[in-house]
Amino acid sequence: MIDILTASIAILTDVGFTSEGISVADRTALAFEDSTVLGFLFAYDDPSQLVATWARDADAATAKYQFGLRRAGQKAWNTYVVLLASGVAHYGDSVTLSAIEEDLSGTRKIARAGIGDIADLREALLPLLPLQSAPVLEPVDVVAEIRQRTTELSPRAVDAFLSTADEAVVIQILEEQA
Amino acid sequence: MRLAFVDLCGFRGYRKPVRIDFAERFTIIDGRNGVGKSTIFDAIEFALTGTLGKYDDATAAGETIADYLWWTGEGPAPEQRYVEVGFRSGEEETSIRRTQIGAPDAERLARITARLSDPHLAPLEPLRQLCTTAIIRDERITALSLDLKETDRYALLRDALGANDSELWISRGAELVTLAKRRTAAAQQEVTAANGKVATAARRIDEVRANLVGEAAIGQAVSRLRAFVDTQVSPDQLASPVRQRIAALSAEVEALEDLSSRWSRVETERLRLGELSDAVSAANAERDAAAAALQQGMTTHEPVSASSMAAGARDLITLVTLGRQIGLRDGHCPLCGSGKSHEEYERGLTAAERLARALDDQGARVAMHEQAQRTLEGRFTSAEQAAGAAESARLSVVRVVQEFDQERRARGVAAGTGDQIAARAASLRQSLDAARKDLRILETLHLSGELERAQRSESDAKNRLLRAQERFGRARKAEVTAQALHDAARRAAAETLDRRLERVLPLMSELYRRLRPHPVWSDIEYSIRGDVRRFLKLQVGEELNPQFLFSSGQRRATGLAFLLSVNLSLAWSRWESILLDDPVQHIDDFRAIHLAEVAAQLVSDGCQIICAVEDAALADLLCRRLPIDRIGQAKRITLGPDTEGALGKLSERTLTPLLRNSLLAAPGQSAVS
Repeated sequence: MIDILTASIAILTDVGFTSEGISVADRTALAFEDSTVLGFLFAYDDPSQLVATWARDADAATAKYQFGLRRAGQKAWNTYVVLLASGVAHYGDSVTLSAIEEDLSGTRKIARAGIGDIADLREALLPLLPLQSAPVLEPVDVVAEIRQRTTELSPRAVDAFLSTADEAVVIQILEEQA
Repeated sequence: MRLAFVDLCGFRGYRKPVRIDFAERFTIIDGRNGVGKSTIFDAIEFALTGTLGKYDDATAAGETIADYLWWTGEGPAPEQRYVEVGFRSGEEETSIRRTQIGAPDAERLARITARLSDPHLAPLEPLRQLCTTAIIRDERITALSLDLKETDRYALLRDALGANDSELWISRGAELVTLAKRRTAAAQQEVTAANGKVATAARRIDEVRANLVGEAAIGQAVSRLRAFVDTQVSPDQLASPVRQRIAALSAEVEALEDLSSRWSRVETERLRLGELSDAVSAANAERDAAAAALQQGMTTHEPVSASSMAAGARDLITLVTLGRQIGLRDGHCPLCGSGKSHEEYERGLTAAERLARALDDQGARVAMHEQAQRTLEGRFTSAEQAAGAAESARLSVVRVVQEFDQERRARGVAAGTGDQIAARAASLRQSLDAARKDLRILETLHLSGELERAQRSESDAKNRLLRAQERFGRARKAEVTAQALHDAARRAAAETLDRRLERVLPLMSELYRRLRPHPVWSDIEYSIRGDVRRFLKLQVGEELNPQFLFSSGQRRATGLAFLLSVNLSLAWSRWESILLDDPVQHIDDFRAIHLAEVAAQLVSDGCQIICAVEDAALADLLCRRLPIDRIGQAKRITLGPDTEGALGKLSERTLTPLLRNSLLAAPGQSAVS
């Protein structure tokens, strides 16, 4: 089990966010911001606690940082409220969490449960993170790949196939090899 | 390479010249339906490829998209209608221009192609492929996303990932296999033909052997034939004189058989000769008697003929009749003019009548005599003819008998019975048949040579069969090798593609998770299956097919994730732009925000985003959610008709960066609340 707030600071800082721990409504939370978005992150022990107090917590955070939000101007539209619970959600809580996320009033919400490790946390914070999978595909040397798969054949036959020679010439060489 | 601008005039719905300069990081275009948002993307694709792929080969009433590319109403002249698209890479800017009446500069197009794609990895039509994957249209999201066939989905991803020259090797391998199979089939036919010739040669040997006779039988036949022709020549020279002898003997046998058949008739004729001689004698006697009678009749020959006498009598009667009718004329006879009395005249007429009757009687006697003479002449003639005929018949029989006897003597046949001649002919016929049979046996000596030739022919055929079998064997081995090469090329392509897919699939999965099409199935599994035909299968939950589970909007969000991942996987693409043409149709606000978040990350990762939307609020959302570091990196453009109704830019606004530290203090400063 990870400390969600501490791990979140590390993750968000790593991708360019400024973040710091804050205290909101008797709860330790996290404020974060980059050039485009800002937000608050709350950690809960279990989904039911999250469902019960998220609205109060979110309101408290926006109230506490109302001046900063006003100062943000257009950026305030990009305010995120991230609600994360360590415990695993049962079906009812899952549905409720989805409803919280789809409530677009005021802020963009991310509500997830079952955050047990860094991978879970990264998955929850995914909308705020750069693309995690960025494959850089190198050119494929198909000729070499074909050679690897034709070791049982005569090298001369393989060379002929991989050359620019006309197919009739290649066939002639294949027959000579036979 | 990023898009720098698009400039168009008289293209599709744009009558007037319009130039849109794209910002470095993103450009958001909004406007109502029909104001030309999609045409901006059409112009880019058309400038690059000369066509619009979204219409494929669609035709209607004989018309295609080509009939609707250019402005058709009043407006710029055809030579003034153009589309130009510009690209920028650092400080370098290049463009390609197409007009309604002119082709683009080929060299420039090739240069742009080379700059937009890696020539070593790019497919055969890189610009078309780039437009297919970089311009993500509403139609493509629908048609080429979740509803795409699994094979087509695999092909789309395969083409996007590059390594396309493997297809060339697969194609070469396939052609090689086809050629090898053709040669194997030809070699097989050669073997079949050679086998047929060996069988034919073997059958010929069997035929010759069946006609061969034992050596002892040949020796006996040779002895008999030597006796037959009375010679001691060698067996190989014996056939000719035997054939000559057989021919001669055949003629003799035929002659004897002819004599035999005629003998009975000739003997009958011979016996008739006496009768015929008697008949000739009788006929001669009759002829002589007739001749004598005729001679005798000729001795009483009258000097005047019966007809002359009858004519004299008729003339005299006529004269008397005239004399009576005329009577005396002045005491003178009217006939002779002499002076006569009536009595003298009457006496003279009476005497003339008597003379006429005597003359007529005399004529009658003479006529009878003449008739008798003619009868005698006829008798003589008939007798003479009968004598000639009898003699002729006799001579004919004599000739037949003489000819027969002459032939008989010529054949050396003594005068004997017909049975003796027939017996001799039969004896010769038997000898002749025996000689012919022995000759056939002798001719089998030549079959030995024929047997040798047949055996040589069989040997040659077997040698040819052996060579054909060797060629067939080589062709089959070559076919196996060609098949192995083809398989190797296919495996190389499939396995390398699978390896690349394995690296790309996490991106596809991540994009799906970011766009979150479905609240329950937050993850998707991509898998490749099939050997000959490859399929890219999408599953959610417990192997469920999202195609049949998701709503229209959810499927489009899934498809958008797929198409974006395809674009980002283009290993050979050097085009950093992603063009989204109204990507949020049927997608709710919640998922539109996810799309904005994905677009924001794409911009952060270096992509240039150009997105057209209908909803101004959504355009606002995108404009403030996508990141900007400095002024000039982003734009918002609103399209619409001007006061004359021509489509164009209604507004263009350069976006400014948001306040960097509004909620939290910059590092080193205290927090602001």
